[in-house]
Amino acid sequence: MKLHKNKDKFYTLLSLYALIIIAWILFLIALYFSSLAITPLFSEKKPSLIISILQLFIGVSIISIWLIVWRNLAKIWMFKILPKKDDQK
Amino acid sequence: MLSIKEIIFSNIICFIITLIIIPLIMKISKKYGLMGIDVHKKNKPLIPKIGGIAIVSGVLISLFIIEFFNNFKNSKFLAFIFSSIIATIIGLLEDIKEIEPRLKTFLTLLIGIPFIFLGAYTPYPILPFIGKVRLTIIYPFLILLAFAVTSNTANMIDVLNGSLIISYLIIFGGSIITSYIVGSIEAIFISTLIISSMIAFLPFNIFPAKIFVGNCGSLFIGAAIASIAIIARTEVSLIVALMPQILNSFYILSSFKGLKSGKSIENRPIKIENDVIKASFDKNAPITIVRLITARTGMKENEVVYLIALLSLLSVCLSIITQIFLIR
Repeated sequence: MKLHKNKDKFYTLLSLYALIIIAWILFLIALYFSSLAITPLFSEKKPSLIISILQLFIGVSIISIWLIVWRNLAKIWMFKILPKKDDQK
Repeated sequence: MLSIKEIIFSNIICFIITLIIIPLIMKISKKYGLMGIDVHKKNKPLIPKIGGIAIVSGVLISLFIIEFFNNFKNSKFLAFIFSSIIATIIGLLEDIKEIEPRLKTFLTLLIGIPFIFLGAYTPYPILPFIGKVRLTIIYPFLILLAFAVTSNTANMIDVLNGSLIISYLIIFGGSIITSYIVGSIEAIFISTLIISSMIAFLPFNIFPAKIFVGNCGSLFIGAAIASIAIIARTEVSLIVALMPQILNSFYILSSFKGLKSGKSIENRPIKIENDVIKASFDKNAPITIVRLITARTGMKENEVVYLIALLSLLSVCLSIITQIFLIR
């Protein structure tokens, strides 16, 4: 019984580790694409308000997409990957 | 420049002050009825709930002593002290009388103001792949946002005995390493002080808790991690280190579809049977980190906290990898 429970705990830990690693990789990808989008703006010598707002908008949009993808992944983990098959009945 | 002797001396002072203040806070909490219910225990005991004051006192008094001998020259330390005081006051107000969630979020935006007024920031964060970027106009706004996010994130993970302290001990441990990589002695110093204070506090807060951190402590701890990231310019690695906590707070906010008090939610994410925490499979309940951890098997409170700590350990390792290999 205890061994069975330990197996479940270990499975939970590994599954959540996988979720966090996927989220980390997605975060880096999101940062990379936001960097690509905003890098040309840094060549301007004097930062203007419009450019700054644009930077903020792009950054926030990409991070928001990352969060939404991450949230949907967590739903899959919660209802498909983590529970045992008969648990949700 | 701080010497090793000053750092060690301050940490010892910090540890002792925290230890001395904890019993006083317990007495004051009982006297003024500042008690919280430990909802995950069968007999629902009442526990003193403003223990965070002991952590704040330990850190700020020892930092104040160091600043006093250095004639208050370091604007970063001063900004940290003032921000911490604002965070603690907001938390204490929430502990004494519950604040409306939207007002509380607005108030937490104010925590970062000392950093802006004292100019204790560098508006050139270093991003992976592209390096240093210039954000002179929007960086001050990001500071306000960062403090609101990190303080509320810490607040939302403080749901089980020791969950906040143990996971943030690991995060502050990681912040010492990332601050060392970038060579920020101030950030290392603040991190060590908070760790000393939290180590003194941990035996009282770990399962079964004799004292809670409270909103005053959780908002302070969350604000402190943002302060360190701003001082050391390790903003990106901070986000990575806080991923499990950010995940937890984002799921809660998105499930609630806005800012609401956790107590007002009808669909509870977990249920408790004989001191064992089990996940609810109600599709409308918020997906919290505790719910994810208990989705496969029911666990005791201390087992859940242990797993939260292991998740924080992974995210801190990822933050160090990010800082070393991806940030130029």
